[in-house]
Formats: sequence, C-alpha cells, structure tokens
Amino acid sequence: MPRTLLSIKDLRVYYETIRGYVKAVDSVDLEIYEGESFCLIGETGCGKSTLALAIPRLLPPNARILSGSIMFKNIDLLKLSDSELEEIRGRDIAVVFQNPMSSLNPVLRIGLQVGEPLVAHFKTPWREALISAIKQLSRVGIPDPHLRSKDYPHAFSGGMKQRSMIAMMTSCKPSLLIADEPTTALDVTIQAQVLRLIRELKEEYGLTLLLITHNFGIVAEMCDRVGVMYAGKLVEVGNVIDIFESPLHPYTKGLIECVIARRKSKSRLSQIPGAPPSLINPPGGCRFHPRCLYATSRCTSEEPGLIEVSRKHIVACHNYVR
Amino acid sequence: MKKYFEFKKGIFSKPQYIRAVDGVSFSVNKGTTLGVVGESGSGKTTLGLTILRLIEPTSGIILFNGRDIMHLNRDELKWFRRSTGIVFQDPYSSLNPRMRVKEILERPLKIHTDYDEKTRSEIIVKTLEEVGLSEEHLMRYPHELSGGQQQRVAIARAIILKPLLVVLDEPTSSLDVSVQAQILNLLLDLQSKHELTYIFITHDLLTARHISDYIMVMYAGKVVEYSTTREVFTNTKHPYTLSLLSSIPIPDPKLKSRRRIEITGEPPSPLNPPKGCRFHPRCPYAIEMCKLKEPELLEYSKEHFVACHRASELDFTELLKDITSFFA
Repeated sequence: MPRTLLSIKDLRVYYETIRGYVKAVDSVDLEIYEGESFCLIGETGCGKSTLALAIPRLLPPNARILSGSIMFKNIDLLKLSDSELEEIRGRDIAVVFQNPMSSLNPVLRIGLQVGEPLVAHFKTPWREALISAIKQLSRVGIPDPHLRSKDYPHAFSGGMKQRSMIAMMTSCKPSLLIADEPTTALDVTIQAQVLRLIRELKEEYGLTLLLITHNFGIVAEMCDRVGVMYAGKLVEVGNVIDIFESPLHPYTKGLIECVIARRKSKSRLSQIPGAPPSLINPPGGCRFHPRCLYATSRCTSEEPGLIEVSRKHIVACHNYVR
Repeated sequence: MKKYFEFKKGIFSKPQYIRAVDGVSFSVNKGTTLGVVGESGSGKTTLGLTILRLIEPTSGIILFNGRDIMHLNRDELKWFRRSTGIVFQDPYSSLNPRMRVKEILERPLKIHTDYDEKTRSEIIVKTLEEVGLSEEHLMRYPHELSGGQQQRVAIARAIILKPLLVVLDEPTSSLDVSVQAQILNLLLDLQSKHELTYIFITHDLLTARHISDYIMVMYAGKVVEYSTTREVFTNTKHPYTLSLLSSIPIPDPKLKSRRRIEITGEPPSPLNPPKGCRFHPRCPYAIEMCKLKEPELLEYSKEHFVACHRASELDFTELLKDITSFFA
C-alpha cells in the first residue's frame, strides 16, 4: 500500500473579480502517494494550475480559499501562517513554472539564484551554497557551469533557463515537486531533454512529482496516475493505462479520442462540441452536461459525486461509459 | 529562395545578416497540403510570409499559378492578394479589436469586389456558416468570442474571396485540444469543398502528419527533408527528422520506454550558423565531411529529398519501429 504524501479534501478556491466569483476549484478531493508521478490534465481555465498552486499557497492576491484542507506529511498547509509556510516552500515543496524567464530574477546571477534556497533553508554559508549551485547546474546539463553560473538569466536560452529553474528547485531535495506546464514554452527537442531530466531527478532524489499539463503525450510519457479536470471539478482519476485505454468520463473519452484519432492521416477527428463554460456561472448539475453526448435529465439537475468504479479508478459521472 | 534579414548591432558596425531562409526550393500542387515543420527559429514563418510576398525575399523566384509574384504590376498584385489568404497563430491579435465580425469579413469584399451591400451580407453569412458560426456572431467584437470562434473568424476572412492558396501559420497552437480537433476538421472540410491549397506551418509533427500530404522539415533556415507524409514518417532519412520524431511525446503509455534518439544542445543562432551541415554539432551521426561541406538537398528516392551526406547509408527503420507502429 503506497503511503499518502498529500491529501486534499473539499478544496474550494475562488477568484474575486468585478463580475463575481470565479469558481476555479470547487470541492476537489485528491490524494497523491509518495514517490509517484501524478498528472493533472485539463484545458485552459479548468482550474488545474489553481489547484496545484493552492498547495504551496502561491495564488494571486484575489484568490480566496473558501474551504478544505491540504494535508502534507500530517500538517494542514492551509492552517499554517505565511512564515511557517515559507519554511516548507522550496525545501519540502518546490514549484517549476511554465515560463522560466519570468520566474528567474533578471538582475541576479544564475549561480546565486540556484544556491539561494540552501542559504535560506539550511543556513548554508554562501561560499558552500555557490559551490553546490555549480554542481547542481552541471547535474542539469548546463555546459561550463563554473562560467555560466556567473551569467545573468538573459544570457541563457529558454531551455537552459528551465534547467536552471529545475536546478534551483531541486537543490534542497524537496519531497514534492510541482511542475506547472514546465515545457510548454520550449521546442520539442528541448522539451524531450527537460522531461528526461525531470524523470531522472525524480528517480535520483526520490521525488514525488505533480505535473500539470494539457498534453496527453506528456501524460503518457511521465505519469503513473492521472487526474482529469473540467470546469473546476476533478472528473476522473485513474492510473495512466486505464485512463488511456478505458476512460470512463465522457469528457476524458472525448479528449483521448481527439488525440488518438490522429493516428490516421486526414481522417476526421472526433470532437467535443462547444467550449468550456464560464466559471463565474457554471452550468448546474454536472458541469459537462451541455457538451455531453450521454447527458440525461438527471445530469442537468443533480451534481455527480466521485464514484470508485474499480480499484483506484474514480469518476464523477451519473452514467459513466464503460 | 533566400531571405536574409539585416541586423545591425550599432550604427557604425558592419551589418550582419540573419539567414532566416537560405536556399529553399519546393513546389506545391493545387488542392494539396504542404506541412512545414520546424522548431522556433527554423525559418518556417519567414518562409510562409515570403510566399505571400508579405516580406520580400533577398533572392529567388516564387511562381504562383505560373506567374512570378516578384514582378507583378498593380492589378496583378491585387489578383494575387485576392487569390491568397493567411491565418495566424494567435487569432485575437490578428483580428482588429475595434471591428465587429461583420466588418472584419466585409473588408476583403469591399476591397476586391464590387458587390452591393446585400450580396456582401449574403456572402458573409454563408461563409460564417461554412466555418461553423452563425448570423448571431455578426455583430460581436472579437473579445466577445472564444479562442476557437476567433480562429473560425480568421479562417472565414482568409477564405471569403475563394482563394487558391491559404498559408496557415500554427493555426491550432494556441488552442485547447478539443478545440484544435474542431479547427483541424474544419480546415479539412473546407479544403475538400473548395479545392484549397494549404501551406501548413507548425512545430507539431503530429498535427502536420494529420493534415498534410507532403511534409517539409526545416532546420536553421534550411530544408533538411521533404517528401510525402508517409515517407517522412515511415522512411525517415535525415537524423534531425529522426530526432524530432523521437522527441514528440507519444500519447500511448505503453510506448513510455521506447528507444529514443535524443539530441543534445540547442538550435544554432541564425546569425552565425555552423559551417558545413548546420545540424552537425548536434547530430549523433556526424562525420568529418559534415563539418566541412554543406550537404545539398538531393532526391534520394522518388519524391523524397534529403540534405544529408549519409542519407544512403543510414537506416532508421529499426529505431522508429515503435513510433511507426503507433501510427499503423
């Protein structure tokens, strides 16, 4: 039985806007086990990044966490004060963002930034922190790390910046690494290199990986288990083979078919009609019902709860398709 | 064809040239799709823009329907503009935010035809329906539409004059998976209905494979491989194409541990591309000759062009078995 590292219960995160509350994450329950790679997949605006960034509480100022608990190693992260959380961020929970340019400080040398977490968390003297930063940079594949650690971020290419981010984020050997679309801004050959690096470091350091992506290819390559999000709700969770081969939720099914159908050249792709709803005023009942081919009257009125269909395969659908 | 951009570091320094597209030759047949694949900085967008004469090539000839588009008089140029269309990656920034959908689509009709208002409206509504929108969208502004709908408007604008050639520059890259599928279906439908010719520019080999009859792979401003989609995917000849194929994340968890050829390093600066074969510093198969002599794009077998010194001795069939089986 794998041990639970992170357990999210009934989490609701809303954004306050002038037009009303955006219900970005609405009553989500999720467990992540120690040492696994868990992927959150969903389309733009489904709440996947909000859910992931709520864990280290790195949310924009207009976000409101209305309810729920996030248990990490038997501590409720939501109950911690900012300074208590600061000790955990970067040391136990690290985050790699999509855009490495905006997450690196443009006026600090790379080596300094990569070494900083050690100084901040372990009171390592700067001299030693810089030496281990150079080691870390060489580990992530930066050529001439001695010289390059003295460079500023603008002198690095996109791929190298993302490598440096990963070096910084793994310098304290955290137990949970949250990677929010880490390769979306990169070219495909560089993406392959960065994904391999993340896989290797995960093995080396025994990290647990929470990866957010919209790319099913990356899910298939990187993950053990997958959670599918739609309109602020977690609609299906299962291991990666089950999700690809026997998806239960009509939305997952639709997405997978969109992707897999590309096997045949010039064939028509199956498509999900319509577009995702506004999260200020999401549809009642099941949020997917206006786009769902299997919707019944029950789906329009009653919100489906998560049902455990088989071992470790959970779906939120009244009439899930086998 | 060549397109160099002048690049000056200071006012008095000697100008340098960014060789965005360097010595590229190809032809596209009517009603077919050419997929241009490459990473950022490979010159694929420059190529697309030059084909439409939105930027002028440094040298080279572009023949459209047998006519040299570099030497057109006013009327001919107008005819050329009318016969071509373009769809960009980001639909929002390619639509004028101050114009309603109706005005956006009316613009080309006003410039290129002398239809009266009633006929124009009919054509606009008909085209909107063709792209999967309806009359209710006529009076909307672009910001009132979703990304997919915006892209549909951009496509409607590109095809409203019944062009012969449409350049699609990453039309689905900024869209979500489910919307991407809708747009690709729409493009295929429109193509078979109007016998459109597409030049589809993308960095995504899977999308290129889905929509194209021919695929051209570009690297650092050069064409490295060009053939039918089938050939490129099953009988890959250039090591760069191989590494691209190897790098795409395949949506099948069973292929997780397939054999991969991962290349190291990053694409070169177009200001100062490597001598010899531009791919040689990253190529796992490079030999001495690759550093010295630039390979020409040669016809390796029928309709299969490769620019690699070792094209005839390298065989990647075994390496690509898993990927080929995914598509079979």
